Amino acid sequence: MFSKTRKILFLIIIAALTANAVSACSTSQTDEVHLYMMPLDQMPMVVQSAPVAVQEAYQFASINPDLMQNIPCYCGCGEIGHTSNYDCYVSSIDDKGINAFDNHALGCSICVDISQDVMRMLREGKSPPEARAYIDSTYSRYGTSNIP
Amino acid sequence: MKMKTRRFFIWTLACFPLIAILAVVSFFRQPLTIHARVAEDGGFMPDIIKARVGEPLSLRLISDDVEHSFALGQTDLQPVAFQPGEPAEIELIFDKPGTHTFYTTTPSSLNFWRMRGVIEVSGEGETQSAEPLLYIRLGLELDGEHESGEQHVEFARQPSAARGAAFANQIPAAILTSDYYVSHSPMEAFEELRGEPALQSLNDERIWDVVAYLWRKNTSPTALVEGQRLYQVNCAACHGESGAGDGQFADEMKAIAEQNNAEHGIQAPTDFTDAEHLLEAKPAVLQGLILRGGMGTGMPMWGSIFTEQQTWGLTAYLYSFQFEYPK
Repeated sequence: MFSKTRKILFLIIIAALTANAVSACSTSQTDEVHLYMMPLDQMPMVVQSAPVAVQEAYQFASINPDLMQNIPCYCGCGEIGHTSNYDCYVSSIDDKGINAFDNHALGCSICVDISQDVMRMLREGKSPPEARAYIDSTYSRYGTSNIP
Repeated sequence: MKMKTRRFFIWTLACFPLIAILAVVSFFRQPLTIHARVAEDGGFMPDIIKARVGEPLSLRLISDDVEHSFALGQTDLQPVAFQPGEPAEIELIFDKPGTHTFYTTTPSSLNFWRMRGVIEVSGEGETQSAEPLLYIRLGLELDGEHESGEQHVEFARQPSAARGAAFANQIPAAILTSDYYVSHSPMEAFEELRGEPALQSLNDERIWDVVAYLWRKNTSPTALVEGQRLYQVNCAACHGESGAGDGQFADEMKAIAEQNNAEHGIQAPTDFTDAEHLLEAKPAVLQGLILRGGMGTGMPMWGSIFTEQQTWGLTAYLYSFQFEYPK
């Protein structure tokens, strides 16, 4: 019915339109907010050899103190003087602004889960107060918030 | 010529929606591929999955290194194992919205418990709100030293629930309640029973039999079997099959603990065959530690994985490392 040229043209048009439709449907899966992360090579060796989820949590928490100092931890670490989820990763900062990393989160399950949840929510476009509210509602059943 | 060209464009426009729909449907009906690597190399990828209530979620599980498994918390799904070169496929359907944690039960590395991800299920239905853990409601501490008496415990023979049952009618009613069980350690129960006038004639060995009876009375054979299954699958890699804290990763954890020399860092796995340690632990505290996890000790939190019922079965099973229960 159609000439060979028209058939090819027909297929090209359909393929282009279909590809466009499919890519339009899938872009929403990757349309994420970029998070600031401290380079892994600036982390202690114990963090560099830790599970990837733990590495990411250290990378994220250590470079976002203002945000993470407003996120509580519910692992019970208020008992050892931690006053936010940030303290699970960074124990102190010296005069030159260099972090002293805390090994606590290397062996802590909830600490890292909380940080990962915050990262996930921010990537999805949620605000820090929304992330804080989610953390409080999800983890407060496990213990006491360490934010006074 | 013009007619043919017009017909060509009409055909093109008419077919496009149908073909586009088919393409999109087939695209989304393909199983979602999850790659698994040991936690140090990335764990599950992706580790966040979206699903909708009532819509099948097909997953294709591919191992990139060693054997792994896929288990889903708070469900009856049995862990699905998969090997490199031998992918597995599963289909899940969720009946209510919420967040489910998936994890591995295969001890592929020291940090295998870090291999977790979530399935976020959206759609119609009520989400369950969970109340604070029992240890919080009872005002108990998880991380402090266990409250203990001055007793040094050393059993010549394992306390037996069956032998203790012979004295059941002499136990005060207040001690027989489940409220008492969850909020008291076996050591506290021993000390209280030791002071009971009705049990004055019994020696310490017999009193411990009565405590074993009390602890066995507060669980069931079904719960103990489930507790044992959960323990062997999820806990034995660190705590050891016999509960002696000598699982396959115990030496690595001990080495890290010695290197860190930190009171609140990674610790050697708890030895449940250590009578003084276990007998000073209240059931609500043990359950709280299982659900919340250790405070930086390397003990995972299981609250997003085990059901309330499962945690009580597991808690009861832990005491069986000290008490002899009827088979």
